[in-house]
Parts: sequence; structure tokens; C-alpha cells
Amino acid sequence: MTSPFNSGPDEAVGRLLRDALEPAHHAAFVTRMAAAVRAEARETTWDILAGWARPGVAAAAAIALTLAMWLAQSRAPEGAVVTIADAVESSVPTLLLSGGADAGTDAVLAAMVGDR
Amino acid sequence: MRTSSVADAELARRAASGDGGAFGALVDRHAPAVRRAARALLGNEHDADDAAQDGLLAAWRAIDRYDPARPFRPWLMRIVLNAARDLQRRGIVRRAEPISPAEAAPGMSPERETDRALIRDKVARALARLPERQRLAVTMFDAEGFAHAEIADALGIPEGTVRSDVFHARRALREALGSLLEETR
Repeated sequence: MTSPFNSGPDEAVGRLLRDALEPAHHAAFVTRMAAAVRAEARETTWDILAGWARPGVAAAAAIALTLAMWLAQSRAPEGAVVTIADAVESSVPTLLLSGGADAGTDAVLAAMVGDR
Repeated sequence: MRTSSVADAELARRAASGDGGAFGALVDRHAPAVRRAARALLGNEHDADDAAQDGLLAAWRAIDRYDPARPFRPWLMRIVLNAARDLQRRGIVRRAEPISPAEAAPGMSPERETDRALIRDKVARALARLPERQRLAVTMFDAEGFAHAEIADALGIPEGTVRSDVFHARRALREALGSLLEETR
């Protein structure tokens, strides 16, 4: 004798259940999902770019600081020790932002050509 | 190539490489079943659609972790049902609403619409009286044609438990819907 636990699907029960649970507006649902997936893909792309941007900004800041220290060291008198604070103070961005007497095209040019 | 003839695993592989269209074809193919199962669990069409959308988006995010050696439907169903349970846990499901005749069968005569709405309402109520696991097991087995093993995989329970749940759910539904079932046969 076949066990009642092993019987196949009951077509009549299945039909009634499908009818009672039938979702409306299939096409609209699929369209909404496609838009959500596209939005998700865009968001992911921006997340990746944002992920790259943070270390990029940190690296640029580190390079600028190193450059500023190198410039300050090359301008300092023989034997003088240049600190990070000196380097930041005398760096081109600081001069330009502070609008001090040294600011202007001379400072930018000096930063570009160094002591040549 | 027409996506209707492409196997789920192949569409999933394409989707994993970023092909949104391939994922769209999977959604088109499986949305009716996952929406019905979510509705069987939550008892409300709007909540079911929210859960189905959350679950399908979660599947899109996780598509590169799908193992093509295994059937796609139970994998997708498990994700959607998890989303539905999550919605349920957060307590933001709406109260189940009776089905309106217009929603039940647009374009039918008013008498037939009313009859059909009443039948759907009666079936929905009978289903709602079952324990959650039995509701899902009988819906997936009888309405969606899942195998016992696939249901066990999707629900994370032993296959023997699925067989027992289907049996008890069906018996309760037959008792509640006796005459309706006879008319349908």
C-alpha cells in the first residue's frame, strides 16, 4: 500500500491555492523590479567610486605633505631641521590660502621649478 | 537568443557577470511563484510584494554566490521567504484583507466576479488557519510543483517533515473546502 506521505501533487488543491494567491499585475511588478535592479547597479558603482575616492584623497594629501617637506628642506639653510609644521606653513597651498605677501604666481612657479 | 529557452543556471551565470537583463528574465519566470509563496506566508498581497521585491533584490546581490550545480528555484525561494520572515519579524505587515471582486477577476460578469471572490476568500481563510510551515509546504508542493526535497532545501527542514506537513495541510484544507474541491475536480 502506498503511504499517504508519498502521494503526488493534488491538482484540485493546487488550482484553488494558485487562484486564491494569484498576484495581480505581473508585468508591472517585473518592470518595477527591473528599475530597482538598475538603481541598485548604479548605487553599487557609486559605492565603488566612493570607496576608491577615500584612499585616493588620503594618498594625495600624503604626497602633498611629502612634497611640501622636501621643498621646505631644500629652501632651509644648511643644517636646519624642518618640521611638518614648518613644511605645512611654507607650502604653496598654505601661502595661496593665507593670501600672504609671498602668495601669487611666484610661489606656484617656485613650487613647480624648485631651485632650478 | 530568446531567454525563455535558456536554463535558470545559465541565466544566473550571466546575471552574476552583471547582465541585468538575464536577471530580469529570471524574475519574469519565477516572480509569480515567489509572490504566491510570500502571500501564503504573510496573508496580504501588498506585504507579499514588498517581501518578494526585497528578496529578489537580495538574490540579485547574492547571485554570484549561487551554485549552478543546484536547482535555482529553491535557492531563490529561500531568499524570498527569508525576506518575508524579516518583514514579519519587524512587525510591519498589514492586516490580511478580504479579496475584492474587481481584484479577483477583472472583466468577468459581476455575479461570477462575486462568486470567484468568495471562493478565493474562503480558500485564503482556510489557508490562514494552517500553521505557517504547513501553509508553505502545501503551497509549494500542490500549487507550485516543487519536489519534497526542494521544499526541504528552501525551508531548511527534513524532507520527512515536509511530507508530513503537506499531508496534514491537505487534510485540513479538504475538510474546510470539501464541496469546493469536489466542484474543482
